[in-house]
Amino acid sequence: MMEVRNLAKSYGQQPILRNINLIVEQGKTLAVLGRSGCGKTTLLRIVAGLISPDNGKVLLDGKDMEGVPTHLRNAVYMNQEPLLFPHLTVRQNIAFGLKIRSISVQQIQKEVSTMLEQLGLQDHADKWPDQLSGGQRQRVSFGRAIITQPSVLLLDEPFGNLDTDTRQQMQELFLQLTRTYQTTSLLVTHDLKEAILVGNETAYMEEGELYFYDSPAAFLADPRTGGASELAFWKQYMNNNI
Amino acid sequence: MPRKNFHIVLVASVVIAVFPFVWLPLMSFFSDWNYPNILPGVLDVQQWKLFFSGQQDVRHSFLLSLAIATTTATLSTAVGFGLARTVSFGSRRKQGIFWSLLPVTISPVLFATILAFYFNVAGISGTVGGVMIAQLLIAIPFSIIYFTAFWTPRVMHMEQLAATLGSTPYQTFTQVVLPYARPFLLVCFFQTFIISWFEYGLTSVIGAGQVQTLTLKVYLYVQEASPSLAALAATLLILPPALLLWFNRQYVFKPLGV
Repeated sequence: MMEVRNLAKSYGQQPILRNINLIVEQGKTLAVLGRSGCGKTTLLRIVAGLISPDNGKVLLDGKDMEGVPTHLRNAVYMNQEPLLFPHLTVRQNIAFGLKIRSISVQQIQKEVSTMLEQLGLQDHADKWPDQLSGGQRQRVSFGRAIITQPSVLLLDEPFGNLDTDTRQQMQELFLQLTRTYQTTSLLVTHDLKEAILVGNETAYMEEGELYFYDSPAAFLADPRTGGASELAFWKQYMNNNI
Repeated sequence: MPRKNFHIVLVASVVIAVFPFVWLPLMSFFSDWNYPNILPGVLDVQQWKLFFSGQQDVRHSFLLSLAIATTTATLSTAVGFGLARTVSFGSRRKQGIFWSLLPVTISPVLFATILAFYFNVAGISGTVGGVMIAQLLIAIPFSIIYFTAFWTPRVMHMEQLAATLGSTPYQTFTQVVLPYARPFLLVCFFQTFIISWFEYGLTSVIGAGQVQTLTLKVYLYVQEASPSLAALAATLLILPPALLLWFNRQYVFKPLGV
């Protein structure tokens, strides 16, 4: 479970996050929609411990993370780019988080094999990152993160670089993996459809403030999310063309 | 360019490039070549015998150069790697690069003249340590500039990702950064080794005639009109760089597909 209380951050005179409060229950995904520069990435980086907040608290599994260094938080931050370690094979990349925790070799092999199967990458296990497609690289990146069973998985527009089909496949894989491993996730995106498909809960961020909704319908109805105008567009298009 | 001319230029270029590697070792086997003879006289292994038996200054110079160049290359690669990270990820990247470029842009002899005063005051002129420090003042800035191309935001993101996966700073350094940087480190070691190995201006001024590296010896033998000794020293001079070049080709560029 993840909780954020009264989180605030400014760069100089420019406030980036204003009094953010949120709770993500165990095994759930909160999808935050927002335009570029609204503070989404800053929120994720603060939770990961990569930057410090000016004010407020981050609690992971009930523990206050103040002063806890990044590597001890168990909060994996995933970028838009898969960032696979180029000197490691697919298998070694997935095993990375387990290996540094000094888990036994047999256990690592067992868990990695299971993960490779779930990712559908058994035949690519010994390939190097540069031998994979964009979608396959992102799969490995997911596997590498989820296998460590993080307290929270922080996803910064992770499907942004993928084509439409691959993106859809990855969204499905993400849902399947997070359900299997009961992973708590905070995903930020600027894609309306993605926010609704992937999130158990949805929120909208604007100028450092976070707005929550009771239902997907309420989320879509808010003019700020662009849902209503998108629906109106398709409705009109259907009426005019079909 | 017509095809025929192109071939002539190509063959001439290859001959010019390969010539020193053939001629210098060959020359080192001639011990008697006096004016006005057009060709060298006696073909023997006298110089090499003396070299291997340790009865010649050139052996001492070879080992001294090897020690200085290896130490300079190791230190400058390690220090430059760390400093370049500070410069690249710091808030004053441009200033850092500017100050690093400064010693490299000044002529080595001019730089040595400036340094000579301070080295004299410090009492390290004419010592191996002094020469090494002087060479480091050139090699470290080179290394910093070289590694600023390595420390990109991508590497920073990889470090951060590793940390979020639970990796301590030490683990990140040894298991992510170092293996990733390995080819860069090897190339930098090679380059700084070459800088030190062939360094003449700084070494002659700061060394004050007391530190006789192999490069200095070659010039000395040429001035003394000892062609076979000069050839022997020159052969030894091209040996380690040639070996490093082969090593780099085999173990750095080939795995990278270059």
